[in-house]
Amino acid sequence: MESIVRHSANGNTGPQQGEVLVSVRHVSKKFCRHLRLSMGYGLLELLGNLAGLKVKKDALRRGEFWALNDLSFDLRRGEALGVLGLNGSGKTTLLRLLAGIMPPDQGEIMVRGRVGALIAMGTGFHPHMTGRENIYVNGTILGMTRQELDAYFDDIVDFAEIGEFLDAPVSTYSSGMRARLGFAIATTFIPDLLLLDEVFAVGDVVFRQRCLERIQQAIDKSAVILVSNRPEFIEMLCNRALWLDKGKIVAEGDVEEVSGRYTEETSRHSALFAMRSGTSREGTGDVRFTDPVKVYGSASGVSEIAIRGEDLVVEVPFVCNKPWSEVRFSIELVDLVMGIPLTLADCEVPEVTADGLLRCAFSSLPLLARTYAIMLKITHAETALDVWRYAASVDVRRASPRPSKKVRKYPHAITVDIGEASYQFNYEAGSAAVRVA
Amino acid sequence: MHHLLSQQVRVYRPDERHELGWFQTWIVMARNMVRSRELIWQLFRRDFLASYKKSFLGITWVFIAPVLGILSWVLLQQTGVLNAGTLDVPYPAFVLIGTTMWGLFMGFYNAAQGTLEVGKSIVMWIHYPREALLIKQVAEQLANFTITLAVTLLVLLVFGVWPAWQAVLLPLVALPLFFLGAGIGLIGSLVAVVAIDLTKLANVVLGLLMWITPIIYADNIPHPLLQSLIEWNPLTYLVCSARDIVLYGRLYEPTGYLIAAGVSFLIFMTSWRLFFVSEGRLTERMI
Repeated sequence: MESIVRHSANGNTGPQQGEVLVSVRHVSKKFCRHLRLSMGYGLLELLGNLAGLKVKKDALRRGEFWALNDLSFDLRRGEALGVLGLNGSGKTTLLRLLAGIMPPDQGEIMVRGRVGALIAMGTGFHPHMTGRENIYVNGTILGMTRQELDAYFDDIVDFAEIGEFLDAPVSTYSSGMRARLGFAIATTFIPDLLLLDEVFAVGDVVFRQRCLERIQQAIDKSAVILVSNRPEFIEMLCNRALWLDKGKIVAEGDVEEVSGRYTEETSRHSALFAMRSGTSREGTGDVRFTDPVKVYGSASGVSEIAIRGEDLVVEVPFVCNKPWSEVRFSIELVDLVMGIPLTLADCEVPEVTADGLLRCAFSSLPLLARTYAIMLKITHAETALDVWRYAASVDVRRASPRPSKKVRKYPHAITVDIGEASYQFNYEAGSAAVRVA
Repeated sequence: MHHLLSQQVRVYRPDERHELGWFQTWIVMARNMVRSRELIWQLFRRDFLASYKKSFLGITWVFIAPVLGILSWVLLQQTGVLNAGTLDVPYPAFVLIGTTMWGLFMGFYNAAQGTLEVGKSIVMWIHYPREALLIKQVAEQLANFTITLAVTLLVLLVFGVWPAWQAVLLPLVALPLFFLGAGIGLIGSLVAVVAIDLTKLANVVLGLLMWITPIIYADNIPHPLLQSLIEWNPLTYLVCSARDIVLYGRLYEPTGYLIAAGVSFLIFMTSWRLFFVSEGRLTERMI
């Protein structure tokens, strides 16, 4: 596939900001679902080639599907494109086509300059050879010369932090070490085009941090394509995003916009999925939340939608089937993309003897633009009276301020009305509860 | 250097390799090989060393194999199980050099046949010229053969057989063995991706061909069927010529040799072209 290699007219001017490094035009790729059929087609094509025939590639044969369908985009030096999509949407296939591992079935791909690829992390090493030997072999495969490898050798070893394992066979490395070594080889000598596939899926926090820095360095000098199903990494690193679904481009453009739409869409799906799965309610039921759960932004007043930065109000009635003392109410917002509880508001009342209403107002919530599930709990010490996962959901629409990751508890005010009594609590950021009345 | 490389433009589109003529195919592949000499060297070093690294006996294997081989043939001949016909050199020497040359052919075949398989681990990672793998495979084969040949010549001396001076022409005389072995092997390598059974069958059939090649017996066994099989087997001329250039300093039936050599060359060039246009589309089925 390297057959058509030519040098561009400005061969001596060196890297230029803004020059087009990748051009994808109406590219499609099809795959076969069945191994046997796939092998059969392969054999047919081989026989066809032997007879000097071209195989027609426009139509789908039995068992085939379009893994990529009519993709077109350009990428310039200095741009970082994040590719979003669920598993099986064609992200890795796209990278493989760009790396030249497989040819497209339709369309044309132009890639200018040296390509560094990290597809299938930690592979490509020969297990019996030492780290040192593998650095030379893999570096050479990536197109580095012996001199370049000699010059960058120490950098690679430093970044990979393999230290005393340098002369041990790679089969003795941990998966993290392999990932580090692979990443170091592919990125130490910064290529013109860097292809990264789910690099954040392996390795610890420290390594991830250093990967981020390294990629940021690369973006200045080259074009980067980052595939991930974690939109937060793409938002952090990329300036453009491409959303693939079943091999087609759903959206392409500004990273905030595309990523926002993607997370909204996917988190809504996962929220619905979680709510439908029957395990969302536990507890004795002595004191129990009931419908209707009201969630709305204080400014918009529209239910289940909040604008990032404005106040978010959660209102939910509860019934008392059996009186309890020292009852704690808590509200959690669960980030459905990450699957972790993000924000917690809680308060404790001396006793619950009658039905009532819980009202909580979070002020200026710095949430991400995505769907959050609301999880409600009523507890007495270790006893769960009511645990209601996915009581409701709220779509946070994007607005200006960036979320702060340091604060765990955000300012909020809670009112609990029980019968005639009313309790009020105010919370400052990160501080303990202050009972107002 | 970097800037020059950085301006290299690659274009990928369907069937682009078909667009090249046959002659261009060979030029492009040859150029790719020259370009990737560093890669070839690195891979050769890696795999050649690795094959000995994990074995206790290491390089001693090279000596053990021919000695065991020779013992078994001599046993068969001495017990009268094998009728080797009339020979003018000691049988062990005859059979040893013959099987060594046969081993060279099978080595070329196996090396070429493994071309795509050995690259499997890096196939799914990045694009690189697969031609480099063939050269690396063949180089590995030649390195092993050189050691085996040295041992063989030593054993010949033990039997009082001095190689002819024309033995220095062996690299040239054995070239058609490369063309035929690698030619069939490259096709085998492609077929192995989609229909491994066919490749296994080919391995068996090629192995059987040894019995209709006069290397473990002389070609003067008076059996009409065997005689005609020997006559039509191109390997008879190629393998026996490689043997005879060492033993007697001459080719085995020069006309037959030249025809077989020409056919081998054509087979190689054809399969090279086929490999060139097919490998990209086939390797994606290895992932």
